[in-house]
Amino acid sequence: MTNIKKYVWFTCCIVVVIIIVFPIFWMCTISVREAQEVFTIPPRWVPEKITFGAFERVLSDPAFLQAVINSVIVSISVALVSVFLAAVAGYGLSRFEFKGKNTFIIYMLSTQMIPPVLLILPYYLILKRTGLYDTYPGLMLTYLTFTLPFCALILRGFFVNIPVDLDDAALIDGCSRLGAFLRIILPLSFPGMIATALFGFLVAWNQYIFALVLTTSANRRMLTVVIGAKLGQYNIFWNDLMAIDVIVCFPLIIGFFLLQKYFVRGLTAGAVKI
Amino acid sequence: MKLSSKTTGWISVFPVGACLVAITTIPLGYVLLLGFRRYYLPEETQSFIGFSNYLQILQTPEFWNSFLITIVFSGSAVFLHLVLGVSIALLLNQRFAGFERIRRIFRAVIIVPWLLAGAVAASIWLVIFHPFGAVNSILMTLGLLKNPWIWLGDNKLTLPSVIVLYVWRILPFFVVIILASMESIPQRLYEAASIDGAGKVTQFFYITLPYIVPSLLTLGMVDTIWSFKQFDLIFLTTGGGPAGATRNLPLLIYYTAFEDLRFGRAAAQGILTFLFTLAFAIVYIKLSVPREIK
Repeated sequence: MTNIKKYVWFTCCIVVVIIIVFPIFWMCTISVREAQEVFTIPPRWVPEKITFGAFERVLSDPAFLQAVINSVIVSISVALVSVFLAAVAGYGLSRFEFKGKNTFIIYMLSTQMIPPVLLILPYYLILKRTGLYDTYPGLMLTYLTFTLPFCALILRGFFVNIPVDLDDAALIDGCSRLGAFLRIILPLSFPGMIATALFGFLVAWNQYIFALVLTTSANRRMLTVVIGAKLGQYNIFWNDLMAIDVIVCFPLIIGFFLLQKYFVRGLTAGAVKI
Repeated sequence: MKLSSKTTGWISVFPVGACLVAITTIPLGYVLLLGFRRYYLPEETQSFIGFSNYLQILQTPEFWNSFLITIVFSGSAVFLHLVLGVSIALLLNQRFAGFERIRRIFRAVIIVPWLLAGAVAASIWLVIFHPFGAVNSILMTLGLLKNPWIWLGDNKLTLPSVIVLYVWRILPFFVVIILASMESIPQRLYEAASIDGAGKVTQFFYITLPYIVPSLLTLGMVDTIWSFKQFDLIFLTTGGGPAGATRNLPLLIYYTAFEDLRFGRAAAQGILTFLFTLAFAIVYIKLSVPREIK
């Protein structure tokens, strides 16, 4: 009896997982198919002939490589700046009682309620006027809107779980507050910090509308904007596009599986924010 | 010099606070003023026109059309997320001896759609929903369809297709959060219930569901807010078409600002959208903050 149950359960799980993962599987197979095999009836689940031509074409396109560089520069900077500032704030929120603390948390949450498409209007006008339009710093600054509050709350969640006694012990032994933070808290929460940084990276890497509106020149184009531009063309080369997709989501998927435990804990502990 | 806990606390949150004021509150104030102005970008002149933008917006059918689409999109997405999220979480919360490892793998794998960029997700689904793509191909092979359906171009099919796409992308997040909240239910409650003779269904309605309702409420609010600002998936798959059938409020604002170049009117549309969101936002903050501050 339990054995039957077990296999029914297993089959249900497999069906659900297949349905959810199918689009990703499809992306991968199309990226290694030949062009005439993209659309067939009946569908061909496994490509007849595997070719890496699409990857070769994509990786030898200087415009695409420039977009990779742009996305890497902006996303890494956003991740580092967010984690640095958010760690300081998260530590303060987890260790000190001060008037206005609750108000501050509510303020951070409420900034996330503003629709990005509303913020894009003043950003566009202000960045144009200040000369930050179409520059890396301009773009990074606007991305912090999404990353700072979320990262601060996730990190606060990680810090709360570290006993305050450890700080106190360090302080008694003559450490300064900063010393206690750097020598005790940082090493203990290091995986959590990396997971938070990955989150900041993910938000910046995947951002579309800000990248679309706040950059214009070809050498400031982000990866998501490149994909968007290719979708707008009359004749879409699906193999090449799926190869780009694979390259774009590869770092995130690898990062996620390496840090899965901390990532999921951060999501649930830092709770459902943004 | 020894700083008080209060001062250190304030110093620690100051950098984040200052950044947020600079990049959200000040721009919000700016856009609030912009909503009362006539600002047609090519003219480079602005003039104060009071509530004219608002009055005009509320009289145009395009705005109400977008409003309706946003509501339908949000409502169906949140409903489907909750129902499917709870079902899948229940499925993945079952434990059988010898299957613990595979259960963990399933849990990890299904989160992948949530990691994808909106642009990536949009392009994948354009292939799948292509007139000759996988969905039509499967349905035609099974004999369910004679001719291909134009999923992302037909008047009636487009909005449901876009909803499916959004549901797929955010569902993993729901499953992860609901599963975590199910796992925190003490096992002894179920043991006690089975001793008292309660079946699986009764256990679900009297133990599991009451336990996860707070998470479901929070998730529902977050999802409403998220789906209200959904832009890239729709913009990149249908561009708001055909004939405005999927043009939700964010897309309307985008087109008003960056195609019609009417920034004043776009600002007013944005403020109205923000006000609708605010109602849900207040409930969400009320729900989540007491738990946050312990």
